Amino acid sequence: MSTPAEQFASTLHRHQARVYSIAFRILGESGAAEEVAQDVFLELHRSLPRLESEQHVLAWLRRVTCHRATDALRRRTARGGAIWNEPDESALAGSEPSAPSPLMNRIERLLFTLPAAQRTVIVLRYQEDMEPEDIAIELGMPLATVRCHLQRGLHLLRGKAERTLKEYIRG
Amino acid sequence: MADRPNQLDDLERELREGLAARPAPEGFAERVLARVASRKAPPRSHPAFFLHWRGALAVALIAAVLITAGLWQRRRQQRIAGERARAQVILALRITNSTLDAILQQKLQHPTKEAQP
Repeated sequence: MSTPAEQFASTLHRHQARVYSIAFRILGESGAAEEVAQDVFLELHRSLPRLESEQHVLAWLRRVTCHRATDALRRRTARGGAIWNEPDESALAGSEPSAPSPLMNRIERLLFTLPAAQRTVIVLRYQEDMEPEDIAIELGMPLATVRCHLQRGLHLLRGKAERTLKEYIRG
Repeated sequence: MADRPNQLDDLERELREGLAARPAPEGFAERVLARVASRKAPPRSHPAFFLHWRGALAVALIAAVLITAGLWQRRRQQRIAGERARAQVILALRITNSTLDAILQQKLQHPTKEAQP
Protein backbone atom coordinates (compact mmCIF):
# COMPACT_ATOMS: atom_id res chain seq x y z
CA MET A 1 0.00 0.00 0.00
CA SER A 2 1.70 3.22 -1.19
CA THR A 3 1.35 6.57 0.54
CA PRO A 4 -0.53 9.47 -1.16
CA ALA A 5 2.83 11.17 -1.86
CA GLU A 6 4.15 8.04 -3.56
CA GLN A 7 0.93 7.68 -5.53
CA PHE A 8 1.23 11.28 -6.71
CA ALA A 9 4.90 10.89 -7.68
CA SER A 10 4.09 7.71 -9.60
CA THR A 11 1.20 9.41 -11.45
CA LEU A 12 3.43 12.40 -12.20
CA HIS A 13 6.18 10.26 -13.71
CA ARG A 14 3.68 8.17 -15.67
CA HIS A 15 1.78 11.07 -17.24
CA GLN A 16 4.26 13.97 -17.42
CA ALA A 17 5.08 13.45 -21.11
CA ARG A 18 1.42 13.16 -22.06
CA VAL A 19 0.37 16.32 -20.18
CA TYR A 20 3.37 18.33 -21.40
CA SER A 21 2.78 17.18 -25.00
CA ILE A 22 -0.89 18.19 -24.98
CA ALA A 23 -0.03 21.61 -23.52
CA PHE A 24 2.89 22.13 -25.93
CA ARG A 25 0.86 21.18 -29.00
CA ILE A 26 -2.02 23.47 -28.03
CA LEU A 27 0.20 26.41 -27.01
CA GLY A 28 3.08 26.01 -29.46
CA GLU A 29 5.62 27.19 -26.89
CA SER A 30 7.66 25.08 -24.48
CA GLY A 31 7.89 27.62 -21.61
CA ALA A 32 4.14 28.23 -21.49
CA ALA A 33 3.51 24.49 -21.92
CA GLU A 34 5.69 23.64 -18.92
CA GLU A 35 3.95 26.30 -16.83
CA VAL A 36 0.52 24.89 -17.73
CA ALA A 37 1.68 21.29 -17.17
CA GLN A 38 3.09 22.16 -13.73
CA ASP A 39 -0.18 23.91 -12.76
CA VAL A 40 -2.15 20.87 -13.92
CA PHE A 41 -0.10 18.55 -11.70
CA LEU A 42 -0.40 20.90 -8.72
CA GLU A 43 -4.16 20.83 -9.21
CA LEU A 44 -3.99 17.04 -9.53
CA HIS A 45 -2.17 16.89 -6.19
CA ARG A 46 -5.20 18.50 -4.53
CA SER A 47 -7.74 16.42 -6.48
CA LEU A 48 -6.02 13.03 -6.46
CA PRO A 49 -7.78 11.70 -3.32
CA ARG A 50 -11.14 12.23 -5.05
CA LEU A 51 -10.13 10.41 -8.26
CA GLU A 52 -11.13 6.78 -7.96
CA SER A 53 -9.36 4.97 -10.80
CA GLU A 54 -6.52 5.26 -13.32
CA GLN A 55 -9.07 5.94 -16.09
CA HIS A 56 -10.55 8.70 -13.98
CA VAL A 57 -7.09 10.23 -13.45
CA LEU A 58 -6.30 10.02 -17.17
CA ALA A 59 -9.60 11.62 -18.22
CA TRP A 60 -9.13 14.32 -15.56
CA LEU A 61 -5.58 15.10 -16.78
CA ARG A 62 -6.64 15.36 -20.42
CA ARG A 63 -9.64 17.57 -19.66
CA VAL A 64 -7.85 19.92 -17.26
CA THR A 65 -4.76 20.22 -19.49
CA CYS A 66 -6.88 21.14 -22.52
CA HIS A 67 -8.83 23.72 -20.52
CA ARG A 68 -5.76 25.28 -18.87
CA ALA A 69 -3.89 25.44 -22.18
CA THR A 70 -6.90 27.00 -23.92
CA ASP A 71 -7.20 29.54 -21.08
CA ALA A 72 -3.50 30.38 -21.46
CA LEU A 73 -4.02 30.87 -25.20
CA ARG A 74 -6.97 33.21 -24.52
CA ARG A 75 -4.89 35.23 -22.06
CA ARG A 76 -2.13 35.48 -24.63
CA THR A 77 -4.67 36.60 -27.25
CA ALA A 78 -6.08 39.20 -24.82
CA ARG A 79 -2.54 40.57 -24.35
CA GLY A 80 -2.30 41.12 -28.10
CA GLY A 81 -1.15 37.77 -29.44
CA ALA A 82 -2.41 36.28 -32.69
CA ILE A 83 -6.04 35.16 -32.60
CA TRP A 84 -5.31 31.66 -33.85
CA ASN A 85 -1.82 31.47 -32.42
CA GLU A 86 0.20 30.78 -35.51
CA PRO A 87 3.81 30.78 -34.28
CA ASP A 88 6.43 32.01 -36.65
CA GLU A 89 8.09 28.85 -37.93
CA SER A 90 11.55 30.37 -38.01
CA ALA A 91 11.19 31.50 -34.40
CA LEU A 92 9.85 28.07 -33.50
CA ALA A 93 12.84 26.39 -35.09
CA GLY A 94 15.22 28.63 -33.19
CA SER A 95 13.72 28.74 -29.71
CA GLU A 96 11.80 25.51 -29.11
CA PRO A 97 13.45 22.25 -28.14
CA SER A 98 13.76 20.06 -31.20
CA ALA A 99 11.36 17.14 -31.57
CA PRO A 100 12.70 13.63 -30.95
CA SER A 101 12.16 12.74 -34.64
CA PRO A 102 12.09 14.70 -37.92
CA LEU A 103 8.56 13.42 -38.59
CA MET A 104 7.34 14.77 -35.24
CA ASN A 105 9.01 18.07 -35.99
CA ARG A 106 7.25 18.36 -39.36
CA ILE A 107 3.87 17.26 -38.00
CA GLU A 108 4.07 19.75 -35.14
CA ARG A 109 5.01 22.56 -37.51
CA LEU A 110 1.96 21.73 -39.63
CA LEU A 111 -0.20 21.46 -36.52
CA PHE A 112 0.82 24.90 -35.26
CA THR A 113 -0.63 26.49 -38.39
CA LEU A 114 -4.15 25.26 -37.50
CA PRO A 115 -6.70 27.19 -35.42
CA ALA A 116 -6.52 26.31 -31.72
CA ALA A 117 -9.82 24.41 -31.54
CA GLN A 118 -8.88 22.19 -34.49
CA ARG A 119 -5.41 21.68 -33.05
CA THR A 120 -6.84 20.58 -29.69
CA VAL A 121 -9.23 18.09 -31.26
CA ILE A 122 -6.51 16.65 -33.53
CA VAL A 123 -4.08 16.27 -30.62
CA LEU A 124 -6.69 14.35 -28.61
CA ARG A 125 -7.63 12.23 -31.63
CA TYR A 126 -4.13 11.28 -32.79
CA GLN A 127 -1.84 11.75 -29.77
CA GLU A 128 -4.31 10.34 -27.24
CA ASP A 129 -6.06 8.01 -29.71
CA MET A 130 -9.48 9.13 -28.47
CA GLU A 131 -12.74 8.63 -30.36
CA PRO A 132 -14.69 11.75 -31.38
CA GLU A 133 -17.46 10.82 -28.90
CA ASP A 134 -14.93 10.76 -26.03
CA ILE A 135 -13.36 14.04 -27.18
CA ALA A 136 -16.81 15.64 -27.18
CA ILE A 137 -17.37 14.50 -23.59
CA GLU A 138 -13.91 15.59 -22.40
CA LEU A 139 -14.11 19.04 -23.98
CA GLY A 140 -17.83 19.56 -23.31
CA MET A 141 -18.42 20.15 -27.03
CA PRO A 142 -21.27 18.85 -29.20
CA LEU A 143 -20.19 15.77 -31.16
CA ALA A 144 -20.99 17.51 -34.46
CA THR A 145 -18.59 20.34 -33.56
CA VAL A 146 -15.81 17.86 -32.76
CA ARG A 147 -16.36 16.04 -36.08
CA CYS A 148 -16.39 19.38 -37.90
CA HIS A 149 -13.10 20.49 -36.28
CA LEU A 150 -11.55 17.12 -37.14
CA GLN A 151 -12.66 17.21 -40.78
CA ARG A 152 -11.63 20.83 -41.30
CA GLY A 153 -8.33 20.29 -39.49
CA LEU A 154 -7.51 17.22 -41.55
CA HIS A 155 -8.52 19.04 -44.74
CA LEU A 156 -6.18 21.93 -43.93
CA LEU A 157 -3.39 19.57 -42.92
CA ARG A 158 -3.81 17.54 -46.07
CA GLY A 159 -3.45 20.67 -48.18
CA LYS A 160 -0.30 21.69 -46.33
CA ALA A 161 1.03 18.14 -46.21
CA GLU A 162 0.72 17.80 -49.96
CA ARG A 163 3.35 20.49 -50.21
CA THR A 164 5.62 19.40 -47.39
CA LEU A 165 4.89 15.98 -45.88
CA LYS A 166 4.88 14.07 -49.18
CA GLU A 167 8.32 15.39 -49.99
CA TYR A 168 9.48 14.14 -46.62
CA ILE A 169 7.85 10.71 -46.98
CA ARG A 170 9.19 10.19 -50.51
CA GLY A 171 12.52 11.76 -49.71
CA MET B 1 -10.40 11.77 -56.04
CA ALA B 2 -9.85 8.02 -56.11
CA ASP B 3 -6.66 8.23 -54.03
CA ARG B 4 -8.17 10.58 -51.45
CA PRO B 5 -8.97 7.92 -48.81
CA ASN B 6 -5.40 6.65 -49.13
CA GLN B 7 -4.06 10.17 -48.74
CA LEU B 8 -6.17 10.56 -45.63
CA ASP B 9 -5.00 7.19 -44.34
CA ASP B 10 -1.39 8.19 -44.97
CA LEU B 11 -1.96 11.49 -43.26
CA GLU B 12 -3.70 9.86 -40.30
CA ARG B 13 -0.92 7.31 -40.00
CA GLU B 14 1.69 10.07 -40.09
CA LEU B 15 -0.29 12.01 -37.49
CA ARG B 16 -0.38 9.02 -35.17
CA GLU B 17 3.35 8.48 -35.54
CA GLY B 18 4.27 12.16 -35.47
CA LEU B 19 2.10 12.97 -32.47
CA ALA B 20 3.61 10.44 -30.10
CA ALA B 21 4.11 11.98 -26.66
CA ARG B 22 7.07 14.35 -26.42
CA PRO B 23 9.31 13.79 -23.39
CA ALA B 24 8.75 16.37 -20.67
CA PRO B 25 11.61 18.86 -20.16
CA GLU B 26 14.57 17.75 -18.09
CA GLY B 27 13.82 18.00 -14.36
CA PHE B 28 10.10 18.64 -14.89
CA ALA B 29 8.92 16.11 -12.28
CA GLU B 30 11.43 17.42 -9.70
CA ARG B 31 10.20 20.99 -10.23
CA VAL B 32 6.57 19.90 -9.77
CA LEU B 33 7.43 17.97 -6.58
CA ALA B 34 9.34 20.99 -5.25
CA ARG B 35 6.33 23.23 -5.88
CA VAL B 36 4.06 20.70 -4.14
CA ALA B 37 6.40 20.62 -1.13
CA SER B 38 6.57 24.43 -0.95
CA ARG B 39 2.78 24.69 -1.08
CA LYS B 40 2.26 22.18 1.74
CA ALA B 41 4.19 24.22 4.32
CA PRO B 42 2.42 27.63 4.41
CA PRO B 43 -0.77 26.77 6.34
CA ARG B 44 1.24 25.75 9.46
CA SER B 45 3.47 28.81 9.29
CA HIS B 46 0.57 31.26 9.17
CA PRO B 47 -0.40 31.96 12.79
CA ALA B 48 -1.78 35.37 11.82
CA PHE B 49 -4.58 33.67 9.93
CA PHE B 50 -5.49 31.53 12.95
CA LEU B 51 -5.21 34.48 15.35
CA HIS B 52 -7.47 36.49 13.11
CA TRP B 53 -9.88 33.59 12.81
CA ARG B 54 -9.87 32.94 16.58
CA GLY B 55 -10.40 36.65 17.31
CA ALA B 56 -13.40 36.74 15.00
CA LEU B 57 -14.82 33.63 16.69
CA ALA B 58 -14.34 35.14 20.18
CA VAL B 59 -16.05 38.40 19.15
CA ALA B 60 -18.94 36.42 17.64
CA LEU B 61 -19.32 34.35 20.84
CA ILE B 62 -19.28 37.43 23.10
CA ALA B 63 -21.82 39.16 20.87
CA ALA B 64 -24.06 36.07 20.99
CA VAL B 65 -23.84 35.92 24.83
CA LEU B 66 -24.61 39.66 25.19
CA ILE B 67 -27.57 39.49 22.82
CA THR B 68 -28.97 36.42 24.62
CA ALA B 69 -28.57 38.10 28.05
CA GLY B 70 -30.26 41.29 26.77
CA LEU B 71 -33.19 39.33 25.36
CA TRP B 72 -33.55 37.35 28.63
CA GLN B 73 -33.51 40.56 30.74
CA ARG B 74 -36.10 42.20 28.50
CA ARG B 75 -38.42 39.18 28.76
CA ARG B 76 -38.01 39.15 32.56
CA GLN B 77 -38.96 42.82 32.83
CA GLN B 78 -42.00 42.25 30.60
CA ARG B 79 -43.09 39.29 32.77
CA ILE B 80 -42.80 41.33 36.02
CA ALA B 81 -44.75 44.22 34.50
CA GLY B 82 -47.43 41.76 33.34
CA GLU B 83 -47.73 40.20 36.81
CA ARG B 84 -48.10 43.65 38.42
CA ALA B 85 -50.84 44.63 35.98
CA ARG B 86 -52.62 41.32 36.65
CA ALA B 87 -52.50 41.89 40.42
CA GLN B 88 -53.91 45.41 39.99
CA VAL B 89 -56.77 44.14 37.82
CA ILE B 90 -57.62 41.44 40.41
CA LEU B 91 -57.58 44.04 43.20
CA ALA B 92 -59.86 46.33 41.20
CA LEU B 93 -62.28 43.45 40.53
CA ARG B 94 -62.34 42.58 44.27
CA ILE B 95 -63.12 46.20 45.24
CA THR B 96 -65.88 46.36 42.62
CA ASN B 97 -67.27 43.06 43.83
CA SER B 98 -67.40 44.13 47.49
CA THR B 99 -68.98 47.49 46.53
CA LEU B 100 -71.67 45.75 44.49
CA ASP B 101 -72.29 43.31 47.42
CA ALA B 102 -72.75 46.24 49.82
CA ILE B 103 -75.23 47.93 47.45
CA LEU B 104 -77.18 44.69 47.06
CA GLN B 105 -77.39 44.20 50.85
CA GLN B 106 -78.59 47.76 51.29
CA LYS B 107 -81.33 47.24 48.67
CA LEU B 108 -82.50 44.03 50.31
CA GLN B 109 -82.78 45.64 53.78
CA HIS B 110 -84.51 48.81 52.54
CA PRO B 111 -86.59 47.90 49.51
CA THR B 112 -87.64 50.91 47.41
CA LYS B 113 -91.20 52.09 46.79
CA GLU B 114 -91.32 50.76 43.22
CA ALA B 115 -90.79 47.26 44.58
CA GLN B 116 -93.92 47.51 46.86
CA PRO B 117 -97.33 46.34 45.40
